Amino acid sequence: MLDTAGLRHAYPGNAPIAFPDVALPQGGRALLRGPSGSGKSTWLGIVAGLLTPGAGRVRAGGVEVTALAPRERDAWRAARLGFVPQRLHLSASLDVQRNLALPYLAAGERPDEARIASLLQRLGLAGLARRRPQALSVGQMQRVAIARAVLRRPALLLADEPTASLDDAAAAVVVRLLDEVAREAGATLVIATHDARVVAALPGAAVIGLAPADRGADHTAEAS
Amino acid sequence: MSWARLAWTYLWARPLATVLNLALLALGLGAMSFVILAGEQIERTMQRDLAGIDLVVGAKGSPMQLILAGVFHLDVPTGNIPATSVEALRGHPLVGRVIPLALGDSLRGHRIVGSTPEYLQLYDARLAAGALWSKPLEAVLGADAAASTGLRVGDTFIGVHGLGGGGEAHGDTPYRVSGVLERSGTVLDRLVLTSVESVWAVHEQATALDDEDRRALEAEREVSLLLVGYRSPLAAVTVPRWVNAQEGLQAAAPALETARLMRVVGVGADVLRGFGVVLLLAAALSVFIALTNAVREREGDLAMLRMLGASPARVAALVAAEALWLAVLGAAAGLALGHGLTHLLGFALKAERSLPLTGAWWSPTEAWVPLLAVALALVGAALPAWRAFRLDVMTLLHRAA
Repeated sequence: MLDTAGLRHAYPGNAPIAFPDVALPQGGRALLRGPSGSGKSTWLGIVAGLLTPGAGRVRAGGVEVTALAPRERDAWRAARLGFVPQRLHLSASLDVQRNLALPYLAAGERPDEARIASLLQRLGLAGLARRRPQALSVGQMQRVAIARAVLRRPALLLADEPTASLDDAAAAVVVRLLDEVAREAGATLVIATHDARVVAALPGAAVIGLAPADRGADHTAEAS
Repeated sequence: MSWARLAWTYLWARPLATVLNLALLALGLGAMSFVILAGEQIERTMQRDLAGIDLVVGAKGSPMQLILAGVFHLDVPTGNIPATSVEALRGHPLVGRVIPLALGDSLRGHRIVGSTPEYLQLYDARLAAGALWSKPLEAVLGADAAASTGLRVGDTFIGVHGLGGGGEAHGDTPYRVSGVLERSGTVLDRLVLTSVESVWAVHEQATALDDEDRRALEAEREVSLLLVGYRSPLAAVTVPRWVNAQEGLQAAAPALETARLMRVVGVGADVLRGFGVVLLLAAALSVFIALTNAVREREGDLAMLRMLGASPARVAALVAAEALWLAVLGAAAGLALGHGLTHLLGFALKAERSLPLTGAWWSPTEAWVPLLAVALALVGAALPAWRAFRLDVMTLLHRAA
């Protein structure tokens, strides 16, 4: 489950952003929607435990994330959170196999090679383990990024604009894949998007609607 | 995969910068290690050669030259002194030991030194084969001299006039090898040793016109230098003054002169050390620039590691680990370079029958080399690691990769 209450965040010199409360059951689906500058990446940062909100709390998978110390939040993120960034951020210096070892490394564990292999198989990436990301198609790279997010079976899976640069067919595939892997992991899935195709592809999903930014609030490094 | 492995992979993801950093580190550390190795070996050799010699006495001239000629056999003597001066010095109440050295001939660059068995005892020399000389024109070879000439016990050889070689050969008076010394790590290794009488005999045979002339020469017998050991520390005050007051005699205190010599040699070492310091500063700067660029290029990767749950300290440590790899590789390359250079110099000096120097010897001081490498790498990595520690993860994950 994911629930937030009274979340507010203010950047120095700007009006605070107030976020709507969220209450999602475990395994639920939600879309984080809002125009540019409405604070989507701030919301993601807070829920991922990277930002400490000015007020309010976040509970995810039974853990009150906002009550944890920064170090504990890092550990929580390693254990319970999957994140698919918009730009994927696969390391160009490492092959697919090693990119997928990073979640384990970040958690301070030995990579589970069997799990990596079976997930590669599951996502149709078998045989690409030794390739560098640069040698993959965009679709393959996206699937590697999704694999990296769900390797350690997170309770909460966040995806940031996963369809931004994809055509209709690819966008549908990605949304379906996110939905499937989240279900397989039993994870709550939140997709930040302003893409109508995603809304159409996940008709049952809750919507977390962020209000348009106040004047002078377009500070959030929101690139989308 | 481990963090160390990840740091290694990142290190070699930018091979040019890594090779440049390694080269700078290796050159700087190599220079340091060379100064340590060469300096300490030369100093040790000198200390060993000086053992038991409190004063060197010779003909008037430069005291430094007396030491170089008499103790280290690196220079020609200042001249000769009458053989009677041996007895004169032995008669002095504060003098314990007087070892005469008669120089003048050489065998393929190895000096033939006429002396007494006491000279060998000075360095605790032991025979590897044969026996000490028992009559004139018998000689004992030092280990290096035996190795480079290939002479064995029972062989004969002919000395050449002059210390450098290429002089007139004393063909009428061949020496016979009576023994070969064990390697002692001292100046003896490079010498051919015989009795003072042998040297006299060779020269009288070479220069005497007839028997009367020979008797005249015998009456004027000379030695080149005297190595003096004191009976009491008090002697250091009075004996040199007493010697210098004698006509034609000059005293040189080895402790004083070698200190002067090391100061002269030390200037060269200081220049090389300074050069090494400059290289190492350049290396630290280069590591800093390379890692700053690496962190900037890799901000996305590092932010993703943070998102995956790595703590800021872990991510900073990853950057530091890259620098540590550089330090480890740089230290290994630097030590190899330092030992290689020392060995090369050792070869060159051996060809000149000069000081023994080897790259196969390790100084405890060299432990500073890897420590220095680690310290430099960490200094260079400090700011980049700090930047990695303070990454703005959300902004970076949002930015174009």
